[in-house]
Amino acid sequence: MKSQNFIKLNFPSKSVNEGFARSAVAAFCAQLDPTVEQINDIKTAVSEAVTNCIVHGYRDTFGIIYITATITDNTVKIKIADKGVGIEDVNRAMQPLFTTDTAGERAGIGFAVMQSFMDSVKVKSALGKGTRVVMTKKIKPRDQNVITA
Amino acid sequence: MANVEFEVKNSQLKIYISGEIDHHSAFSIKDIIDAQILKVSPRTAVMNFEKVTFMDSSGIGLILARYRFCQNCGTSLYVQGLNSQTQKVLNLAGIKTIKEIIN
Repeated sequence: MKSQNFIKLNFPSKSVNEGFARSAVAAFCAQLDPTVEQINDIKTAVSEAVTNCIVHGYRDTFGIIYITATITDNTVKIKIADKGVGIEDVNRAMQPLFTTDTAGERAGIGFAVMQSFMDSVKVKSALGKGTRVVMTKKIKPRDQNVITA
Repeated sequence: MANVEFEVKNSQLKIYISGEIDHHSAFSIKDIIDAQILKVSPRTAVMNFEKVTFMDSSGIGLILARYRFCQNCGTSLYVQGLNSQTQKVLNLAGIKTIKEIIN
């Protein structure tokens, strides 16, 4: 039988919430007993996806960011969605170094970070309706060779 | 939340960043760093990441934009004190032009 657990987070697209979002999802994933590196990977990927919602999805406005994290057995699935402007060409947006930022402060590798740090990343977007990113990561149980007294 | 502190020695500006670097915090420290580079006009500037506990790709944007800014000011930029998490993010950007220096 599959064991399942989940959390849902809804919050306004204020950049101050980026830290809250990645910390909350990381704290939820702690029950899988991940390594520090795995937790950092999840935090970084969540941070990128939430930043995209704020910088792109709700570019000139504020809206709600919707996060659902589900744990099934040893895998965490994280959905991060906005109801913002949407992406015209998802494949182009996911190209490393592609950025719409003209100020030169954004590196354009947000999706590359997500793809590199998570096992799978799927992006669904519709113009005027919003964007949804679904990422998964399997946390393998660590060797149970620690002897407890 | 990120904080930034400066130290000037022999025309070298040390930029000590601490805390978490994300889109929110990078935005709040970038102008402070640029203002200091303009004010000191050092030969070299060193961004120190020893006390950075988290960094996403906003950190790369922060470094690359400062690199361009320094080039315009005639300052060489170095990066030091990266840990495994910050290094992993930086590796993704394939940064080769900015050398890491070790004390």
